[in-house]
Order: sequence, then C-alpha cells, then structure tokens
Amino acid sequence: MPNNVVVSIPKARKRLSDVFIDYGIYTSVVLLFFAFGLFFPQAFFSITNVRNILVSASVVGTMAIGMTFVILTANIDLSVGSAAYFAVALGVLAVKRAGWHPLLGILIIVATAIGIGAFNGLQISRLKMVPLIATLASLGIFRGLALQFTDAASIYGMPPIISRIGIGYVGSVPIPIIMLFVLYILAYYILEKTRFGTYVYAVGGDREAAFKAGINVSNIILYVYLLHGFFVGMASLILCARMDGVVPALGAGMEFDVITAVILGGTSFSGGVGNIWGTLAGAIIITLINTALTILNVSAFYYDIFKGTVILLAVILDTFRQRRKGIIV
Amino acid sequence: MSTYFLEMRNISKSFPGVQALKNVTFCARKGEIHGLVGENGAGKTTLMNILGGVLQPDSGEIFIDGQKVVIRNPHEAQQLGIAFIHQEPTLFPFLSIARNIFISNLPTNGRGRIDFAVLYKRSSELLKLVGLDKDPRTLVKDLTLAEKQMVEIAKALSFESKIFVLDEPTSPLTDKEVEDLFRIIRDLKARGETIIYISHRLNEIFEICDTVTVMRDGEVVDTMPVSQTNRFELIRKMVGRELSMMFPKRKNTGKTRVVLEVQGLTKEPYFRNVSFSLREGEILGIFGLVGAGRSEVARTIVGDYKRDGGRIFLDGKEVVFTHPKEAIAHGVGFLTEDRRGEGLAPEMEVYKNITMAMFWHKLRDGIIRLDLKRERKVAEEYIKELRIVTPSIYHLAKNLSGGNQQKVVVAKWLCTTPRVLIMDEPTRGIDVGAKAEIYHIVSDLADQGMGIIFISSEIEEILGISDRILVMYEGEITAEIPREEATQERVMYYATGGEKVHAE
Repeated sequence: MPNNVVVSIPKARKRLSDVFIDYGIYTSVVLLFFAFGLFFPQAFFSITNVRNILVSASVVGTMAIGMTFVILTANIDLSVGSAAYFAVALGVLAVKRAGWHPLLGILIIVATAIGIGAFNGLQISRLKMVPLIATLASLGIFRGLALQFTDAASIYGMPPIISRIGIGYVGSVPIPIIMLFVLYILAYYILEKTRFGTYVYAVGGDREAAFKAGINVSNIILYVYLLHGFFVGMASLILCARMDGVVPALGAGMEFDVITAVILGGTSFSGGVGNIWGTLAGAIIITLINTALTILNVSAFYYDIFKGTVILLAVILDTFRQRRKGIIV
Repeated sequence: MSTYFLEMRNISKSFPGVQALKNVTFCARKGEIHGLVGENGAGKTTLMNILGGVLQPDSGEIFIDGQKVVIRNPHEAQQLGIAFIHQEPTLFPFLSIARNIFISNLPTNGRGRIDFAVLYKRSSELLKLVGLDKDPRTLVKDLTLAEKQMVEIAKALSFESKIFVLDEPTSPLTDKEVEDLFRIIRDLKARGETIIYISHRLNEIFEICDTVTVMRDGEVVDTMPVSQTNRFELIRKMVGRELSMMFPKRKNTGKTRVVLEVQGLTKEPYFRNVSFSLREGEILGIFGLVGAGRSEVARTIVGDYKRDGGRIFLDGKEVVFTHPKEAIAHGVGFLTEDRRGEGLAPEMEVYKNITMAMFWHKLRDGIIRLDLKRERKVAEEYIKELRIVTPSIYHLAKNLSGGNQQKVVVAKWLCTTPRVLIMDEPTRGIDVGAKAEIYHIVSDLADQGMGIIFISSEIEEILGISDRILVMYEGEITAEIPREEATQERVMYYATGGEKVHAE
C-alpha cells in the first residue's frame, strides 16, 4: 500500500529521543570512547591511541565508503573480504614471485578489486541477479581462487614503496589516516556535489521513479559497483601494506564489520537514505569495539556474539528511524 | 494530414490476460489543451505511458511534428520534448526540491559537478512560476501532497518541452492551487505547446480543455471539440455499452437483519465520516474512481489500517479489529485488489492456497498432525463447487488463468466460513467469461445469507451485481442509490462530485 502518503511531522521541539535517533551515531562514538577510556585509562586517553584507532579503522572505513554507495542504491555486496584477499594475493604474487615493480603491484591490487566490482555489478545490473546471491557466489569464488594461487600460504616482505603506505607518516599523521580522510572527502564530493551522486540517491529511493525520470538505472548500479571496487581496492592496498604481505585468513568475515559500519552510520537498508559521515562514525565504533574486545582478551565466541548484537541494535535503530520518518508504516 | 503536432496511430498494447489498448489512434494539435477522459481501466494511463516511454507498444506508430519517432524509454521521451506528470508521485523524498525539479537534467559544469548557483536560481524561478513559496533546498519529504504536486509541475516546466502530459494532476490540490495550475497551463497553451490533460473531474475538462477524447475499454470512442458536447454526452460515451446478460438475476432480498454497521468511519487523508449498513444476503456495491477511498474503507474495516474515528458494529455488537486476522475470526473476510501480491501464494499448490486460511482446529488430526486427506477433500469440494479449472489440486497457483486464480482466492475465504465478505476489485484483470462466473458465485453466496461488500471501479458491474450502491468521491460518500433507481449516468454523476461540483 502507498507509503508515500505525507505524514506531516509537526514542527514541535525535538524530543531527546529524536535527537538521539538523528545524531545517535555521533553521540555513540563519543560515549563509547569515554566509556572505554574509563575502563582502560592507560590505553585510551592519548593522541597515540586516537591515532591507532583511526589507523585500525582505515581498512573497514575505506571499504565502508564503497559499501555506502552500494547500500544507498538498495543493493549489497557480501564479497568485500574475499575480493580484498584475492586482490592482495595477486598483487603480492606479482611483486614477490614474478618480481614485478611494486607500483605495478599496487596497480594490480586496485584494478583487481575494480574488476571484481565489475563482475558483481554486471551480474546485478545486466543479468538482474539478486545482489545477495551474486555477491555470495563471489565471496566463495574469489577466496577459493586466492587460496589456490597462493597455495594457502602466507607471503611476507613487501618492498618499501608498498609497506610505507601502511607504516609511513606525513609529518606526524600516518598515511592510512590521510588516505582515509581523502577518500571520505572524495566520496562526500561525489555523493553530494555531483549529478552521479544525486542519481545514486534517486535510484535507491525509488527505482521506478528514477526510471521514469529518465535515469539509466542499470548503468548507475554498474557504476556504483565499479566505484565500490575502487574503494575496496584502496582498502586492500592499506591492508596489504599493514600486513606486509598476504595471509590466508585475510579479509575473512570483513563484510560483517563493513556492513555493520554502514548501517550503524544511518544508511537505510532499503536505500536512498544515508550519508557518508555517518559511515565514518560507524566504522570508528566498530573499531572501538574491536579494540576494546581485544584489550579485554575475550574469547572469539563472545566477540561474535557482541558484534552480532551490535548489528541487531543498529537494524532496530534503522527501523525506528524509518518509521519515524514515515518511510515504513 | 499534418495539422496534428502529435499523432499516435494504431497503437495496441496487451498485458497478460488483458488487451489494454486496441488499435488506438490519438492526435493532438499544437497550442491545444486536449482532455482525455474515460473510466478507470479504459486505457488512458497506458496510452500516455507509451507516449512517455514507460511502456512499449505492441504495435503502432508515433509521429511528432510529422516525424516518425520511436520512444524506447523515458529519457528518449524527454529528449523529444515530452514532459509527463505522473498520477503517482515520482519525487524522491530525501532529495531537495531543486534536485527533484532538475533530476533529469541537472545543470553541471561538464565534469559532472552540479552547478549549484544555476540550480538554485532556476529552481527559485520555477517555484515562483508555479506559486510555491519554499526554499529550493527543502527536502521533498517535508512538503504536503499539494506542494509535491507543484514540484512535479515545476519539474515538467524545467524541460524545453513541447508536449505536456498531466495525468490527474489536480486530485490532491485545493481550489486555489488548481487555479494556479490552470493559469500555468493556459500560459503553456499561449506559448503554443500541446497539453494532454487526463482528469475524471469533468467540470475541469469543460473549464480548460479545447478538445476532448473519450476512451473506453482500450479504445477511443470519440474525439470532439469541448464546445460541441456536454457533460451528459461525455458520461454516456464513457460508460457506453448496454448491460449484457452477464449478471445474475437478483431477487429482492427484503428487510433482513443488519449484519454489519459502520458509523462515521474516518481515516485521513483517505476518507472521512463514512456510514452505512449491510444486511444479510445483500450485495452492497461501493463505486468510486481512483483515489475516492474505496479500498481504504475496506482495509480500515478489517483492521489493516488503523482508523482515526468512527465505530463498527457486527450483529449489533461493537467490534474493534486491530488486525485482519481478528476480522477473520469474527467472520469478516477481505479479498484484496492485489490478487497476486496479497491474495495468492503463486508458488504454492492450488489446494494449499485454498486451505491456507482455514482454521487449524478444523484440519487437525491428533495434536499436531495436519489431516492431509481432509485438506485435499475440502480443496476438491471447492474446486468442484466454484468450477475452478485446474489440471489437478497439486497444480501451482501461478499457472492458473487470472479468473481461476481469483476463484481460488474466493475459495480460500469461503473456508473461513465468513458472514461478511468484502471483495475489492474481484474481477480486475480477468476476462469476460470469468467475470460472469465470479458474479454468479457472488450472487449465490448472498443467496445463502452472506453479506457482501463489492468494491469496484467498473460501473456496469456495480450496476449489474449490487442490491444497493454507495458512491464515493474524494473520501466521502456522495450518494446511496437503491438498485431500482441506479443508472450509469446517475452513478457517474455522483462519482465525479455530485451536486457540490456539478452545480451550474
């Protein structure tokens, strides 16, 4: 039934709950930070620690940029972790086994990730495959291929050009943080200032209406997956540099953190609503939680239970937010 | 013959089970406001969707300014100068007004960056033109329905368009806003543009249009200058045909017991203050055009929508249904108009579909086992009784014809032994023969004492089947007409507004 009926929200003063629902993500970052700070004062209240957390957030945070575009168009990608593993594996093999120039290795990593974006995007936009299934297949295919190519071995020892991306500084700022912010500003620009960004919102908001407005919906979805591939590529690069190589478990389960970050950040699973800064905040929250759980040295089982609960809460919050905005009844 | 600016020649279009357009030829001149009228389902919107590139015709040709054109998608339609204001909003609630207006042609600097200065300047100009006093940065979700419509119109004006299609643009507008809209339309006409104006408000056709084309059952009945016709002729042409022998003879039911009574039922913005009663063995028809609020009344009665006010009595006792399942438990069944989406499980077998809504205790064998034998037996009985044509009870429901699918849905509801059955557009999209069968089933059910509310936007079936007719217009009941006094003209008169609108 029509959900487009105007439920005019009276312009009364904002209730506290509304403020929380609207800006909850940013408040949560601050609250979580201070909460953890109280628990582990020695580890948390320092510039170094803020820096460490942002560095740790850089991989998930960068992948979450692309995922935000994908979810904004009401699609999904489950294959990010496998795509990163495959891309890094190819890059490392090219540099270590074939002895190619490191810059070529970097190019291979990014290009491979974009290629996987194209693989997913073509299936979804041209063959009209269900995104969940198409990318689930990719999740299996590319992890398997990467394991095959590397013989499931760990390969370490990257040339300085690559490893510096992970451990280098510009002034006193680590390079991954700079990349993270540059990429977020780029994404903000694309989403808010370009025609393409507007189309991303339009396609996710109402695919039928976007079509009637003359937007080439399937091209937009394809381009979104390509762009997403680029961000996955950049994340893979940081990952490769910080790992100083490739390991078999690389990126395993990473889709979980990435999608959680996007949903926590307020991007609606039904598409068309969301913004990129929320995603950054979501990625930081996920990292804070990961860090805290690592410091607490809890068992891996609790780890999953806790993070599962977080994504559940995020989705509940999303539902409340949608209901209040009249998107769903 | 190219005195016409737009020519659509011999257009045909069929959907599964329905021939929506049969060899339609529609022509409009430059600088003319061309009205397009017809009952719901007459094919007006389908025809315009073909012009707008939303649908592809099965056959036929389109000429613009003498040039043959092929319109493969809405983008190509825009390129050809066709602006289309759709009946349903095509706005994006979480984008600003300005971005919505220029969604199809955002001003950019060549590299894809939006030129915000130009965007906001031109948006403000257009908003001023349509008389909407809003900051173009406002998100569309914060606008009222009428304001959204003004944005739609501003959007159509943003193109360098030559042909403007307005599909029921005034439904959500107030009088003042309609005046503004008409002023804009007349300006467009003065500029020499072609305007196609679809409306079911006949007085608007007479106020603003130069020419009017009447459609019925996917065909063009007539095209004539507005000055040479009148309201009654238009209505007669819209309604057309004599009543055939499709309908069962209804005997006069006399005064039986009232089974359902509705008092002052209100659900904004759909309808308000709706009151009526339904007797045992009676078929009460509810007629109204799109947006009149018929379906919403039904949904509110069974508790699918939460009512704003009003009371509902079943057998004299007040009832409050908060969910359709409570209505079912009280013996009130509801066949939705969206048969495929809400009424049928297309991927399940026919017999499962029939027994789906049956009460668990009636099919139980022991504590948890389903009595499969009985389940199949029940299904077979209904298949026989309703003459459902299916190779076997194990056939998947999606493979049946529309009419047989509808009978399956009817059977499903009969399993719940309802005393009141509300049917929303039960014959939509099914062929004539199947329609007749549905009418006879409905009539038989009423003869067995069931109270039936029959909702439809097809005037002849309402006249043919109902014992009494309620006519709705924009959320209000404008008339209650007993079967003996009902004529097509009279029902259509009230469905397009009645005295309030037609006062001359």
